[in-house]
Amino acid sequence: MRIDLTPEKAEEMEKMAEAQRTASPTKRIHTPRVLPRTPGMGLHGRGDEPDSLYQELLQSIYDAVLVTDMRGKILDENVRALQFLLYKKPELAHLNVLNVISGSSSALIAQIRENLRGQRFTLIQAHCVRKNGTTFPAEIAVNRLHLTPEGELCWFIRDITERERARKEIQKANERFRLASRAVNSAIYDWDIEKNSMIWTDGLTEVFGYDLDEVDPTFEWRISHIHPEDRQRVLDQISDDIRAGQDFVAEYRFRTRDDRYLDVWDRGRVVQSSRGPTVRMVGSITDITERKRAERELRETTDELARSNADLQQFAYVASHDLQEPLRMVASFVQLLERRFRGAIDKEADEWIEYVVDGVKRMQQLISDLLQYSRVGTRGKAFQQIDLQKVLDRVLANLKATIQESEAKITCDPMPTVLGDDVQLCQLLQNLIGNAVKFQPEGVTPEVRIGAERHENTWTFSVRDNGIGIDPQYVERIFVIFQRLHSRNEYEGTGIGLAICKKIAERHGGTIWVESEVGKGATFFFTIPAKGKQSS
Amino acid sequence: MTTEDIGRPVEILLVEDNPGDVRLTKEALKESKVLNNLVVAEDGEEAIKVLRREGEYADAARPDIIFLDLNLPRKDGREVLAEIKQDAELRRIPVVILTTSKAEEDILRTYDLHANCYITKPIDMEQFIKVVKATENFWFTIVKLPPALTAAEDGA
Repeated sequence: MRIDLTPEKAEEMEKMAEAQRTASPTKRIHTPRVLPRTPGMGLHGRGDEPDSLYQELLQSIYDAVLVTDMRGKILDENVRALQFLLYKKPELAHLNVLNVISGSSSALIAQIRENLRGQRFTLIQAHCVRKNGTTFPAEIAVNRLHLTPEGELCWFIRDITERERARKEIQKANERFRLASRAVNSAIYDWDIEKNSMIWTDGLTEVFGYDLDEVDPTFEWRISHIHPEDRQRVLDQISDDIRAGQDFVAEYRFRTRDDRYLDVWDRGRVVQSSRGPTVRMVGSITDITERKRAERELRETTDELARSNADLQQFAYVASHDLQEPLRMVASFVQLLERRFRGAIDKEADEWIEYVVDGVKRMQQLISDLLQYSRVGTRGKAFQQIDLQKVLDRVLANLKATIQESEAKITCDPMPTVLGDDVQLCQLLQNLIGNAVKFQPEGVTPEVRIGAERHENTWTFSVRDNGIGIDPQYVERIFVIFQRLHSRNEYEGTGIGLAICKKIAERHGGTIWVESEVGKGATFFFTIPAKGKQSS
Repeated sequence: MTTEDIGRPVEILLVEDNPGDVRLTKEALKESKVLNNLVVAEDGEEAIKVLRREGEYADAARPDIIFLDLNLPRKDGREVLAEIKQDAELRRIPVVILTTSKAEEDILRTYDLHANCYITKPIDMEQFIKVVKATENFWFTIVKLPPALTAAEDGA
């Protein structure tokens, strides 16, 4: 409960009182007429004319009215008071006004009397207690009557339940709005274009550091805080959009109170009055510095990636050309030496030349493999529908000599059509089938089975052999570039084949793995999405 | 025209900046049966001077065939090729592009400039010798070339 009289309210009350004093003669004369002649007989009308006027006025007041003596004892009331407080008329006659004001004491009366010394009305907000003990919020205007020499207090009680509910609703909505505007890192503005006044949410303080009491955040203020390089552009755009009556959206840099510039996203909606020209723009300025930074980082990372890809391609070129060039010289002249002087010096020289020739050839092979490996990602073709049956036929044709020589038995499932790069898929199958035929113990007829199975959205292909198998501890390593499990004397190769297979499978959105045991053959699996993956 | 018709060593102009390749080509030619005189130009400008008999090359013989590398200092092989093929006096001389480049665009571009054939230098020496021999054999014993220009036309 508090006693509260704002200057505005007081003024309003004074005006009301003044109006009463200067009102029509009928009203002016009623006060003297209702003066009860006998103190103690109360103010209740007894049928005489002044009393009925008094009663008529009293009963016609919308608020609940209690008339008390100067200590608060209830002398009279209107019907609204009975309705509000749920008392019957005789019951109220025994009560003090303090009985119907929650948590009040005689101090309240003293305070009111004190307040009324200098002014006609005093206002209090309190909770009123009904007979049944329930309460309601009320605004109570108290003034002093002079019906008897001691004087009386007249209490106008207004039920403000509805108003309080609305106020709380607004408060809640405002709080929600404030929290939301804080959550989106925004300052929300409502710009009255004609009056050039801007109302801001406290986002202006929270995001940009400006105290709303400290600055006069007009449109000019807002424009002057835009980065000079962005200012004219934003100003032009905002003018154009207002003229066109369309939404304004812009990104620019906005200065904070501590002189930093934040990247902001400003979106304003033009609000037009029904009469035509734009009168308001309501919008928000959102701090997107963090997003901008992330975007910048992403762009930098992408650029860097593109650069490193370009470097890789450059490297591929260097490997293919500049490295091969001197190597070609070494190889050519050593071969020339071998050609012209074999047997001319001595046996040792011949042997050494052989080593040089062999080394150089291997190096040429490695460089060429490396080039091929790096090209899987950079030189691949765009994906299209590929009939793997045709690809497999081509692979078997390419491997014809090897297959015939080893008398390998090859069996195949029917192959599906998938989305991919036919050259690379050919290479993938050729490497796997080639390996299956190659890694065989001596004297064994290779048996190779090529399978294709669909599980939901994935095709799983398999190449199973009856070869030497792979120690399970190495099944990861074999897919790493230039990793070999056997000496070159046992099986030829640089160790590039499976690395290329892995890269091809991955480029197609699949994976590759092997299941094997030493001496029990190996099965290589790779997957390709049945619905395909867009080529990168 | 075949070597038998000429009755003299075949004049070859090799345009190549890498001494190693020059030597290899010489060695390969040594193994061929065709008698030849090899003139070497180390860059494009020199090649043009030889062909036009400018300055110190005033007495240079007119080549019967040109082996041309593409990547050359100063004037590169493509420019040399374009100049030869635009020159009425020179354009009948067969130009064999002999390069390490396998790039499709190099192949297309040089044929567009009217190269007579394009050969990628084999990495293997045996192969290289084979290719040189085959080239010589093709151009000097199989192909019928236009008759050599008369002395007057020759401008000597």
